[in-house]
Amino acid sequence: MTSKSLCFKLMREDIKRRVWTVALTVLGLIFTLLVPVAISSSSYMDQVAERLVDRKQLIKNLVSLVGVNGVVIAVLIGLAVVWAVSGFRYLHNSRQVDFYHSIPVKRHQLFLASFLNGILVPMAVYLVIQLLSVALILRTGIGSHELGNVWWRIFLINMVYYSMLYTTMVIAMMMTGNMIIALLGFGVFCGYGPAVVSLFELYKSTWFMTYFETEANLMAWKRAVNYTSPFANYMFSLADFAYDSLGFWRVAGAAAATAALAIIAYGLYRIRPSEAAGRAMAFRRTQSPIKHLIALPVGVVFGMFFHALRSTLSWAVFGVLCGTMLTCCIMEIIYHFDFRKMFANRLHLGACFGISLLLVLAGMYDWYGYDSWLPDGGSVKSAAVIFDYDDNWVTYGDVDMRTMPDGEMQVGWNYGGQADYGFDHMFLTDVYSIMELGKKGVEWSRDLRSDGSLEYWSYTDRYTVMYRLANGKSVYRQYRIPREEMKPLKTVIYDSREYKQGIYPVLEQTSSDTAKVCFQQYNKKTELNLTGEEISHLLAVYQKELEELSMAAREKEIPIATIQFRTRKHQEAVAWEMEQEGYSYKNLEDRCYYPIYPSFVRTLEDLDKAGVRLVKLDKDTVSDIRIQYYWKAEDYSDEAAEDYSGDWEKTWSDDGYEGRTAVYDSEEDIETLLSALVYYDYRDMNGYYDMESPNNADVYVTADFDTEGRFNDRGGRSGFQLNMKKLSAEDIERFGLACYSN
Amino acid sequence: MIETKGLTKRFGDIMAVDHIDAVIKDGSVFGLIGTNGAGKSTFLRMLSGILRPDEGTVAIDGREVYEDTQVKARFFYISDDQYFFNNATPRELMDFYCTVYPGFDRNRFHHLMKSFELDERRKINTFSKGMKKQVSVICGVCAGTDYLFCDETFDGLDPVMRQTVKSIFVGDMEERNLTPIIASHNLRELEDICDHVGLLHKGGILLSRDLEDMKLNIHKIQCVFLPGTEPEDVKGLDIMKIERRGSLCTLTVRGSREDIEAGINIYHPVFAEIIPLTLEEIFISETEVAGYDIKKLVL
Repeated sequence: MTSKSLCFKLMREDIKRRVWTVALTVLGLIFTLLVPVAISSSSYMDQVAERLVDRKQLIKNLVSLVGVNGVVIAVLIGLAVVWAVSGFRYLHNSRQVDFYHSIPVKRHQLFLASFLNGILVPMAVYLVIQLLSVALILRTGIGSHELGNVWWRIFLINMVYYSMLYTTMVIAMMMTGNMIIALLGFGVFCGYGPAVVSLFELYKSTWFMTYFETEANLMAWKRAVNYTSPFANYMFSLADFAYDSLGFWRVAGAAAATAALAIIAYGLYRIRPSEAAGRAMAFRRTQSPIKHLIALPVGVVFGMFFHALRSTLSWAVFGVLCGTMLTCCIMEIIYHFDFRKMFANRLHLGACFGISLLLVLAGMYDWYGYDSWLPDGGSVKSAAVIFDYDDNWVTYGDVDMRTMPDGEMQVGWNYGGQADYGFDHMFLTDVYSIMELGKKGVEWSRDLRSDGSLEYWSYTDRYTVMYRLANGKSVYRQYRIPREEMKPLKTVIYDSREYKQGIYPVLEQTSSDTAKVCFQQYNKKTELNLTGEEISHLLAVYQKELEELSMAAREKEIPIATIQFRTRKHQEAVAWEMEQEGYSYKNLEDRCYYPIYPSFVRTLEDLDKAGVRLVKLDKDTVSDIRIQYYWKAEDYSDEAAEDYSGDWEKTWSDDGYEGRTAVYDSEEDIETLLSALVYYDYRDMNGYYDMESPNNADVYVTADFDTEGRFNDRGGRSGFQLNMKKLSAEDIERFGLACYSN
Repeated sequence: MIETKGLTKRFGDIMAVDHIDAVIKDGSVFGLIGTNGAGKSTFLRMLSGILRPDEGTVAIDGREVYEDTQVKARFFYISDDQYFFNNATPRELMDFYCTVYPGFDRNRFHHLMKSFELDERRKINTFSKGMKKQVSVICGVCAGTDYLFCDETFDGLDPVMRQTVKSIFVGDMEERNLTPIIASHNLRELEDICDHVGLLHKGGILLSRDLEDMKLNIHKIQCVFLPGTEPEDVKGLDIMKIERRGSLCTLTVRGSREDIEAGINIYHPVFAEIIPLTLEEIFISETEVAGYDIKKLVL
């Protein structure tokens, strides 16, 4: 008998033994794929006939059932485990091993028959059910061009990853002699890599006070998670497929990896001793390495966990001891299937404890010298500094327009981070200021490590420095120092043109890429009708004035309006969303506005020439100003309320606040209050503005244009804050604001 | 011919089979006897190519067994707890064996199943232990292999079935030179069928000999010596064991009947009678010599 025909005969016999697995596969896929498609198709036909719904949306829903369908994917993952277990569980039973290995069949044929059945049968069942589902969809009258090619592409992707997970489970079966241990092994194969990679990140962020996670770190973490787990790889690929960014080579790579895993599985089958049936681990040599590989990270995690609960050395040691001992003992119990063997290998337990403790202590006391590291001033070519919460109104990133696998255009904003932009675009050459910031940061991180007082966080600010070294490397550190110490250095850095180049993307913008200029004051937006030359001039003027903006000016001035230089791509996206009446329209339209300060004289002149008339809040445009005062219910008393002047109108709030609104409509009051009014949105654009606002008092202006800027923390819309520093003591008293000042 | 040389298998710290050299000739019944844990099953599993030897070789007509399908096609292994597919019927089992044993005799299978009054369409898992053994034996003899490895196969069979199976074995030996290799504790069962016996003890082989030779080479003699003569004084005989009951001594002695008689007669015993040993007695004597004291176990 040729080995090929024997293999087919064995496959046939194997299927006879596993009819229940075939039935489970058929039922699983029928009820998660075919039946939902049938229900949706019939519903679709009824609804289209009655013109009740949007046909496009219904097609999308139907296509999604034969596309990235989470339930089908969950079923396929479950089937991968079931087929692998049912195919090779005989290896875990000595009676069955004796039976199969005594018959005159080579082991590779036994392996191939079971292994191939575990892939080919589910593949055939899935293909048939997928084709039937597609046929049902086409029967509704939806054309094949509308259906697209998603259904067969997702079939291929699902089968590649099904095979990968199935082969992983087969390897787990090969490496163990007990089904429960094999399932645990599969969990380890799928979860160990991501867990250790994540622990590595957690370790750095926990112990290194100056550690900064860059986008590159994050990407490296994602990559590591992606490539250290078949399950994670599957999930990442599905996510990429959903966004149409899964390339052919990624799938081909997964198929190649599956083939490599299959070769490993076969190799393990060949060398697997028959007497391994019933043991925890088929290969005794793997026991120690696996135990160490699990016990070490668990020891470190436990050490970190207990240190996080009670920041003392003894609790960290206790945690490490708990982690390593629990892991080693449990694994010894599993290896021997005997509870009394928990301390069977004290040497290993001691080694795991020692190494884990060493790792925890090294992090705890920074034996690596990570936090105290500072580059030599001469080796720093340039640097970038990002101050936390500084100018966080700036929009980073870009418009994201893409055609999805179902052929639909999706428009959104691909968000970017301030830090990422700054690290790419900021090239500070004032090494002295940078090194000073670094030195202070190192000193304070040392103090923080030894103190760890929570109060520290209240008077310090955080910043991140990227050192570009002469050797081509870039090193990142994140520090926290007191605001007062930071201020002089920050002022010097802010006033530099290089810093602003790194935080305001508009400074990089070119006139050739600028499609439109929009102006906004309070809630009123105006699209300027400008020629290309005028746009170019306005952009250049604005860029110059923004570059020259100093910290001193920001402390004195508050923006009076905002301006948007809309790029061509941005404009295209806004126009598309407007045309489609898409929900992203407002989101896109409001992005990338920049402040106009009163000192931006030339910008204002250009705007004036373009016909922009600045609205002014004065007694002619404002009819009244209302101040809404709030108390916590428990602090309220009628006597206290009567102390405040003005016309009272009682208001209520559901969140435990009770308030009254005073309406000021005399010219004198209006003029006094207007001098102290600061528009919320403009205040947000300048955190350096020297002001003091009252707590729990919202200001509303009734003017001949819309001034209500945003929702306040009590749900109402309020546009303004009051700057108490612009009011005299008498005025503060007169307006009943004395008890609200900080 | 099956030949093992230095065959060794360890399970962790346990030496299951310890450098066994054995030869099993074709056309005879080889009985593999031994104490519990002697390594009989392990020996058979290595013979069947299930276990890979740690050391040594096992070959059939000069070809290594492990992973050689042509060699493996020459034997059928019946384990002491044979596996049957879940919910399978004897007929389905036959279909499977037909796939892997090209010489499987379907007609004979049907005939034997009928003769043994076993229903081919009934699920095997509803059969009794003895019926399952019968199915295994039927599959084994119908596979048409040169060798049949039986591990405690007679255990669970009723006396009639045991005799029937033995007669089938004898018939196949005559017809097609079948060589059954039977491992068992039940020495009485082997006694009337085995031609050759291998005695395993603590993983090693104590002896491997034709049963007739063995019986002829070890005897029990009951005798009463003249006063002043003790059995320990007897020289020139290979005495394995001495038992006394009053003046009656029972000696277990290696050697031919004639030599023993001659050796005893030198001391002019008052009474001397040679009694043949059963296989069980030979087994106990040999294992006692090897340090396996049955009395200790009984006490």
